[in-house]
Amino acid sequence: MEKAKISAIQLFALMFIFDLGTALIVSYGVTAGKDDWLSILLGMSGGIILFFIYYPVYRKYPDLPLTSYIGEIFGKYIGWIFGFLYCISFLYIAARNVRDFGDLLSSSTLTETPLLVIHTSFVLVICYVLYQGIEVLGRTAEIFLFVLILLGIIGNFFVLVSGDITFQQIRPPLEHGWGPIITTAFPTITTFPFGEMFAFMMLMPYLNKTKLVKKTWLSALICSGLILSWTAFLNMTVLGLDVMERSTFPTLATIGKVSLFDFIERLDAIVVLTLLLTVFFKAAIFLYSAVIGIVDLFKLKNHQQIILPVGIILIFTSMTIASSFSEHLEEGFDASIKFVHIPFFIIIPFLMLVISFIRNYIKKRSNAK
Amino acid sequence: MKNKQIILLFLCLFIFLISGCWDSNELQKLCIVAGMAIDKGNDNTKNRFRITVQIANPPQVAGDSQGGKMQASRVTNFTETGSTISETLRKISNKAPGELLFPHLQVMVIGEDLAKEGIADIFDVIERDSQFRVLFPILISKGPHSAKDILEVTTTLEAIPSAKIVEALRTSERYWGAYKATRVDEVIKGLKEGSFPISGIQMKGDLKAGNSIKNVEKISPNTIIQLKGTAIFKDRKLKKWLDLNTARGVTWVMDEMKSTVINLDCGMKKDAIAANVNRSKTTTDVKIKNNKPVIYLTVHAEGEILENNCSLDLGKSINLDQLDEKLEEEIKIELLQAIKTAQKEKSDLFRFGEKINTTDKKLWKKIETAWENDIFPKTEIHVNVQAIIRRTGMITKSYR
Repeated sequence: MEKAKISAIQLFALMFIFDLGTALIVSYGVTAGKDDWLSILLGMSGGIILFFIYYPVYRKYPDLPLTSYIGEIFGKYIGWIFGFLYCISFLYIAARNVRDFGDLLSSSTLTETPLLVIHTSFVLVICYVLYQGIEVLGRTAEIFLFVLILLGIIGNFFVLVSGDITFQQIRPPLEHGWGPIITTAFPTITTFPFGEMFAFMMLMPYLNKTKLVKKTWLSALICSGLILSWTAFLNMTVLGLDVMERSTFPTLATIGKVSLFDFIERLDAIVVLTLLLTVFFKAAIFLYSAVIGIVDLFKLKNHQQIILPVGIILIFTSMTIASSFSEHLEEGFDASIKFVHIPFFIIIPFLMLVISFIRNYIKKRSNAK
Repeated sequence: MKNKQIILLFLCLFIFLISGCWDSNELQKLCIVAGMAIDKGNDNTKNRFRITVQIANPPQVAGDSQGGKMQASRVTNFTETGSTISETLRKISNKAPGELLFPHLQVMVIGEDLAKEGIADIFDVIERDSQFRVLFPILISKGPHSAKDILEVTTTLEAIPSAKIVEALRTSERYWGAYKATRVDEVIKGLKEGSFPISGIQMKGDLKAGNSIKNVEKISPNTIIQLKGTAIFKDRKLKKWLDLNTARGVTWVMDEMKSTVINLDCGMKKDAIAANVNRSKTTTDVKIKNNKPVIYLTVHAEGEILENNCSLDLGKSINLDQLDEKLEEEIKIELLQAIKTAQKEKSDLFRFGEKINTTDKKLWKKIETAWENDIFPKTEIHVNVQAIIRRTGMITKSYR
């Protein structure tokens, strides 16, 4: 824990950008067919439910990061192990995000640059921001929130006026019934990206007004959910299901189709920049959560001394996480959801909620006696 | 203080390190590919494709040809054979002076021979490689000349033949309506779904004379290239060529008509009046009757009289009403012709399947597999045309 405070708007910016990170660009939700946008909205409501699992636990310990009170809930030793596992999972997801970013850049724009170079330069910048502390990260997010909104407006505007939108592509709605929509929304979309917001349980104590947590969290979740759903909708109307299923980065393909007056073309930079910004914050938040978790668990003096070592682990992990991009994606939508997202962002938080309730109950009864 | 100096030194060093990219390239060393032609190779396993790339020669294109003498051609073609598109394109680097640059590719012409065997293998690389964009049009070279020959004809007015082809396609699409530009992404969608049309292109005149700068020194060139015919693709193969009026019917049905000219009879005189159709909207409705789809096409067209070579008084609205009916008849004939041909060829060019899916997805799931071959040819298709001639130009009666 460093001594720092961030404001509600900064937290909102962090959360908002965090949710958009990678999900906005990578192909996701296509298993729901033409109704992926609906599936994302459902997933968002799943995210809201998850929040009400996290929130009561947070209310009990508003001044502590997750790793500190997890020991009080599960008992000292089991809690410590869980806390450590959380740090590792945060680091793992950060590595996945970095890899998403690196693969997009090397397959679309920087085709000849080695992946390691992209990763190293990216992670070093993240490390630098985190070295400066959470306050700096929050302020940066506040500024880049507006840049991001501007990019979004420009990108959307050009896609809308380009005339590439055909609503026939999303018709008929519910082509295969509700089945695929629900199975895509739960658990895949609920956990990625909305469940990943659990990482903010590490950052909550920094908020200067604890009362605003609920408002901030939910508004960020709903805003980002709506934007993700809208983007998926737009991609589907421009590309059609077939291309959506095949393309690795649908949003990039969508913006690539914009061609106005033979003059406004190749707007790929907008998408790449959006990804750069969002992934930067997402990876930074995960890395920071992991770092202060480690500081907390191992009782280190401050987080600055271990940022660089952990950053190097991050680079190493992101390089070795998969041998190919296909393997990386496969892992992301299968193993990572099953073994990281569901247990760490749904099951353990739920257990935490139940156990803390039981403990409370026992405490009250013993007090009453 | 000393620290700051060291930092400054490092910053200065970084300027040298970060200013260059891995894949930087000097502009003048790149070969900008303007057009590409793909033909069948001479061998089915070793050399499946014969690819020709057309590289623009910027100084010749930009330089003023009035003052100076023309020394070199404004484009250069290189041809190579290979089994995959990428391999063949890489082989061309043995001949070309620099790296081939594809983002500015304007048109791709596919040879008829290859199209008859199937074009499924061409488009994967275009979709996969980030260098290519999927927005350029595809054309089929209509025999007897190959696609390579098409790109070898020098053109006037537009310095680069590929650019000339694209411009011709655009104006034809806009003012004539018969030949539409089919973009790569549309072709890929068609390959996935079944049938689709692609416009054709043909060379007229002598091949040898066309491949020379002398061709463009003449006022009427010996050899020209022109759009001709629309190719129907089914199962990824070229099945049939449609001629002019049927091709225009396809444009009508697909609601892509922008403007065109239709001749109308005047009493005994055939094709005496020319009407310009400048607004048109085709709506497709599907109704399900006895578990069978019935398709209703409604065309709303608006136009004006461009030319009147008979004594009909166009100042009287009753005469115009008669012309309206004739115009409706003419349009209807074209649509029916196109539909009949498509049904005969068992090719649902018009994507009626999609419309059936939106109307009744349960029925579509049942008939989806049998649609093109068994159901579509027998499906009832009704055409209703409503045409209105709004204006008669600057005069009413003709001088005669």
